[in-house]
Amino acid sequence: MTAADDFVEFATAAAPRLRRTAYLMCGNWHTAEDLAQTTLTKMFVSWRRVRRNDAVFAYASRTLVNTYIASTRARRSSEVITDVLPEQAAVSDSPETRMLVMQALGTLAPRSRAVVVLRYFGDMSVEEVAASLGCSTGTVKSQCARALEKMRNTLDGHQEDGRRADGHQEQRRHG
Amino acid sequence: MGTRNRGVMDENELRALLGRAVAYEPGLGPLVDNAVRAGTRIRRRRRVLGAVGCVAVIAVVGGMVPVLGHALAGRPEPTTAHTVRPSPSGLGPSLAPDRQPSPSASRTHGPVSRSAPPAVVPSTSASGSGAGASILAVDSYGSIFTVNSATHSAGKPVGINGTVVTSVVSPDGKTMYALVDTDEIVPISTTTHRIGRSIPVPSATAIVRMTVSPSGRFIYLSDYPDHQVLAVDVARRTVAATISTGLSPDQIAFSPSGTTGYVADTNAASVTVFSTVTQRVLRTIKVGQDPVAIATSPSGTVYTVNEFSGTVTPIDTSANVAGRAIRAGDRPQAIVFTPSGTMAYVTNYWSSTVTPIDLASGRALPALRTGSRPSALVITPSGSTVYVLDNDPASVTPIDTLTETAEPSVRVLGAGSEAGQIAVTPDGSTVLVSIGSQLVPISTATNRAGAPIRLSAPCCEQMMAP
Repeated sequence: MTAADDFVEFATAAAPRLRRTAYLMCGNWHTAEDLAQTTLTKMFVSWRRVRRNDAVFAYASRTLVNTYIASTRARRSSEVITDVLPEQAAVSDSPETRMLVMQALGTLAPRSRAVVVLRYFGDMSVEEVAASLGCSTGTVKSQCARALEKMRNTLDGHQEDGRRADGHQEQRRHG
Repeated sequence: MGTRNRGVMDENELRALLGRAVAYEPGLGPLVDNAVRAGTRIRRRRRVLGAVGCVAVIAVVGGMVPVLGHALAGRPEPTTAHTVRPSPSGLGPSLAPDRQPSPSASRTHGPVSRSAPPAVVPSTSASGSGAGASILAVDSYGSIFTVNSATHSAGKPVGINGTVVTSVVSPDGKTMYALVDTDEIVPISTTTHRIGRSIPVPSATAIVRMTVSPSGRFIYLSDYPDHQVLAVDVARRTVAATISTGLSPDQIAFSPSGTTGYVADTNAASVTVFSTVTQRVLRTIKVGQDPVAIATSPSGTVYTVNEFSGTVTPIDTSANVAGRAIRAGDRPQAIVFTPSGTMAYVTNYWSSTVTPIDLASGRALPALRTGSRPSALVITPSGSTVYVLDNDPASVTPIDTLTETAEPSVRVLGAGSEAGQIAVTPDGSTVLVSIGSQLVPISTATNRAGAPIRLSAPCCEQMMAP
């Protein structure tokens, strides 16, 4: 198998997951595809070196995070953050839930967002996340804790709003 | 109050939420194909001169402290060296490192022969005068090694974090800048090998080449996929400007005064001209298709090597206009000039020849046959011999510039091995060819290959084992 075949096999298998990871980081599928593609391009360029590595996917994640963080530096958040949160309960499988989760992620700074995504979507250990981001495990833990708290507040706050809104509606309906 | 949703606090809940957030995704585009295509282009660019992922670089400047000191001492008068220094790699072997080699190429021109330009240290070889020049070489794994050119032995790796993407040496020869995949430029002293404060840059992996301005104040990063060149202010350690170029910028040459830069837009048929003072684009000059190399001749004319037109285009740097194209062979790759500025030599990858060009008349002379698939070439500081790197198999073909004849090729390694770059030591005694994780020295006196110098650390060798 040539290096190129080898790469295509890896890339085909990894692309969907990379793109999903990128989506959670950047918040839009189009950019996510770009990020995933750029990541794969970079890996292809150094594939001969990379493939000798055991943890190829970890390498891909690291490249993706770097690409993502660099892109946020380049153009300040292309993501549109709306003021109004959709009025829906947090945990359900509706489109609103998805939006809400994305909103909550959107409140995080790029690095903490990457930490959360790698840790809870990528199922990486604290050590792996630290290696990917080039920081200490302590930093990962504290960023995780802080990010979770922040997301929780967003989600909770919304829920309270949602409940209040529901209450209004009920009152109105009953009244 | 009881509204606090404990579920969301739960890490498992968050996992589930994130999973749901990506549940309805649009169909996947052809990103794997696109990545392969874009990656291939970048790789091709990086290797222009044939560095198929091997030892990426070579050569850096002469290092003996005393000698270097001497060389530098002679250099305050920048005037002489100007022209030369800037020229982006003459043909550079394209990797940053090659910038070094280019010294041979570009530097060679004029100045070198008499008073050594910056880093060129004339007499290292002569008597092995005590010490050899020190060479910094980057191996295929992106680690930097010191090599003693007198004893041909590799020293310890220079400890940097991350992998070197590309590198370049400052015009004064004092500093090697390594672009590392941790998105920073790391300055390394070529004399003490000490590492300085790094300069953060966005997305190192998109950069195919670094070029230092003649004044040494700016490092230009050719961001190939994004069609722009980033001007990094060395003193302020920031990206000072972004220069939009034509498609796929790569090599950069400078006018003799150093105030104007010429970016080769390698996927277009143009050169983007910019001011090194304002970092603004001045104009775009049309040249042949795919200018893969650009360099300034000792007489101050910029030449592009247009791969798909099979031509060389001169650019008058005072008027910034292109002259009549000169026909070379099939898929020309690189160019070097004699120190006197009378002749240029261009490798033709597909025709397996070198085209000598009489620069005064702008005429190509009959092509000289080389080994198969010649890519890079260097010229000795005296200008007497051009060494051409052939790729299939790796060999080096010497060309005597006096008689304009090609001599028998020197085989570098067994068949099938791909060569990376070629450089000549500042004293002109040795030509170095990178291949795999080795440097093969060729004596310019005998045109014989010596024992290869191994660069890679043991861990790399293990990884290489089949």
